[in-house]
Amino acid sequence: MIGFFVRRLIQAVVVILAVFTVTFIMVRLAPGGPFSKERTAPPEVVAAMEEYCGLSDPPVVQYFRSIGMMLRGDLGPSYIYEGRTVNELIATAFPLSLTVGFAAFVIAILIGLPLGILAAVRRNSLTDYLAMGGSMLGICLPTFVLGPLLALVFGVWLNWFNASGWYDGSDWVLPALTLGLFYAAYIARLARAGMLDVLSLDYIRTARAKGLDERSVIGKHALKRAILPVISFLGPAFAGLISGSIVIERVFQIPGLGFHFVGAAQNRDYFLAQGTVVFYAVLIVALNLLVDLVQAALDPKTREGKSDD
Amino acid sequence: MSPWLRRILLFVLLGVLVIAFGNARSKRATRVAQATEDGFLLVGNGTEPATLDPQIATGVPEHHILSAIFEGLVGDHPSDDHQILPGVAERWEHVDATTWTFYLNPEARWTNGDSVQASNFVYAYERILTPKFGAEYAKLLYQIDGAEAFNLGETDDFSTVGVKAIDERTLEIRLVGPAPYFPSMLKHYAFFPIHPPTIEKYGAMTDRFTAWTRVSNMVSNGPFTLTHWGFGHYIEARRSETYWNRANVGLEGIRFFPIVSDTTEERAFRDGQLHVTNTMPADRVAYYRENRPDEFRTGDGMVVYFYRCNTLSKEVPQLGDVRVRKALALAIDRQSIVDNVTKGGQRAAYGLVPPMGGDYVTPNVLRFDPEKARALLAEAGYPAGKGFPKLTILFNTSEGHRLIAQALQAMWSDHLGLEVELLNQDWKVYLDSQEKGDFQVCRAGWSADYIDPATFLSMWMTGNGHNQTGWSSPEYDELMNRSNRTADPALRNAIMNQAETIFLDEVPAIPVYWYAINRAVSPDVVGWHHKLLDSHPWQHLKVRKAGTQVEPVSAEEGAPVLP
Repeated sequence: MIGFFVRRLIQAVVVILAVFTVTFIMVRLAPGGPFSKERTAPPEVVAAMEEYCGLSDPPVVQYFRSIGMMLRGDLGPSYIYEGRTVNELIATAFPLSLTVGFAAFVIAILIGLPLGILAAVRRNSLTDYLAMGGSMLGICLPTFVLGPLLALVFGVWLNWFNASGWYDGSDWVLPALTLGLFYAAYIARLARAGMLDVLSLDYIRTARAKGLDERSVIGKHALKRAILPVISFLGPAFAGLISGSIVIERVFQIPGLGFHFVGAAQNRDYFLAQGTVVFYAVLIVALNLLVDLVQAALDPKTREGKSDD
Repeated sequence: MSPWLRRILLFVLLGVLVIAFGNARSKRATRVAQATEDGFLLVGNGTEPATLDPQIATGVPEHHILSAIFEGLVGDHPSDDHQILPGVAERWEHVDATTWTFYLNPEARWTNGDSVQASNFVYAYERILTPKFGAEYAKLLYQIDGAEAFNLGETDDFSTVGVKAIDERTLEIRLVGPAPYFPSMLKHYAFFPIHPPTIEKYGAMTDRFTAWTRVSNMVSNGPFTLTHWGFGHYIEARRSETYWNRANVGLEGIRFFPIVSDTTEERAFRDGQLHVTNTMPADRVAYYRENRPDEFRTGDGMVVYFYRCNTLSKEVPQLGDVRVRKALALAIDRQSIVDNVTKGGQRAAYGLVPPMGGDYVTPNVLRFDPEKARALLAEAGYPAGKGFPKLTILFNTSEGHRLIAQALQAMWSDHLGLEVELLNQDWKVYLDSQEKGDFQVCRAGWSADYIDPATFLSMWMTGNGHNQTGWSSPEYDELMNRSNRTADPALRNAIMNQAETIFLDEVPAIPVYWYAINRAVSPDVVGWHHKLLDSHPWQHLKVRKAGTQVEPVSAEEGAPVLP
């Protein structure tokens, strides 16, 4: 198990370094720089600015300087929000994304998992059709449609929640619901497929033949294996949820991470772009590592390296 | 109990809980009602300001906040775009509109109690003009003698620049030539003063990335003082205790909300979260006009939407031919574009300079004349577009710009027989293409920094960085230079009118429409007026508490009389 963990950890470092390098190159290759604006300053002034910011140094120097800074935990300054550091921007935005994302994650599991299992157990019944029809709708209905719809109904019309903004303790509800329902739909379909696979296996037939009641067959024997595909989905899904969604943030006016993620690339805010991408990469890698460990604990086959990931 | 009965009971219980929750929540007072009670104004402000440093800021959202927390030499009038009120300067005089002397109000104070001195302005102007500071709006100060040479690094001696503190309360500014409109330029935040000891407490004079604009660090001199900056949430400014005219500030405070999406903002307005929106989604304009007329505000904006022609294009060298450019300009049905595409009260542009309500009259030249357009194209050697290379329209990625580009594509194809394709690029890529001249025809917009035709006309002079069409006309340059040397406003307007006529005759850039400013304003806001530059001196506004009558703050209240 320790060997497995160390192997995965080395892979993680390599992945993060690769992601950083690619981001560093791509964001600088893209035409236009942080100081190209509609009202262009004279070239002399832009050159002076670039020198001041160290952008006139050779790219290799900038690359290793960035890595050095990152190793010290400094993600650099933002060029767009002058006077603010990338660390600070991520530190203010991430807690919001985390709150909404975590709530959405819980909603997704609480709705998706029981729905999927119920659909599998009552396969080809009305319950199954309703659950799968509903989840298909959830997958097809984009968040930029569902979000404004929820804001309009529960915000503007019913006035149960604020239609947008981050004012009081209940402002996470509508965005989390919008995001959560979308993921719940995926989880329901994965859980149903996983459960159906397991229910056809010999050991379940044996359990039933032994006269166990259906509840223990599903709950004690089938569930553990049935949720394996769901768990491998949950890692990246959780990372995706807590790293913020630009759509949700715009619809509900939440100053989360998704906004910086997109804005930094658009504005060629080099350090902010690098910083958010590396932060996201670390999140994904860490959560995938966690998923691998959980899977290994649940399923010895993974531990022995027989899984295909 | 049967399982069904249990389920039904569970559902009923859940239903009762939800209804009780909803009932309790829906009785909350709206945020606007609460703010009105406290004398606060809630304003939608577009995006999160990149900075609150007056010498670095460049955008409209920044302008809204800076005009609340800082004050320049002159003040903005609440309703009349052409009037100027005293600001830090209580009066001023000039010689030939070239040498201006400003006498500062002895009561003008910084928030820390220091008096606002003439040297604070000199310091601010040296800072914005220093090349390595890289201020985009440094150009706005080029009207000052020696400013351009200093900003371009031709000299590092700031004493060569025409700004001088005669004494603590007297500031002299010497211009390159007569500019009767100079005081109106001073409303722009690029000309605002800063407090030198505060700047230097957090870095050198020309350090850009410092923390002096943070709430706890900032020292400012406006009617309001910065009290909260919740990044991405809102910025709050409260009535300043040190402002010279504090007795006549009508609001306790303002909160600016950076709401990027116009549809989210409009929902927030209906949800009772904002008194004033920053804008209005185009598809809601008709609804508000019809159903909520007491909340809908609209008026002309000083912005022109146009298409640049690359007169030096290698792929389509025909764009260097004035007949081709005119044919393109005449084949655009502008009225149809504003009626059927933009639909937000914009005006079809018949010239370049938007109507600004003063003495300047924009030449009424541009028409929709497809027949003449065809004749011009035939004269240039391309009857019915035969033999004309494929033309590419470049625009920055946006659904609104795409719709207009598609309309142009259809018009040029139908009326001129041209083959036109569309190309959209990400904002920075598009800026890069424009700057490098890597385009044929591309969409652009220009907004006024101050109310004067020169803000739209000087950019087309030879060698101006914003020209970007390759077009150059010695006659145009000469007229613009002459206008810069003319002190008499009527004569100056006539000269600029001649220059604009030349521009419209050669159309290196084809104007399409002039913007409208649409927004929703709560009827509780007293004293809100449409302004061409969308600059609202906040101290003149009030909010009306339920069941009370409130008179607007008069513009002249407390203000010293002008010479």
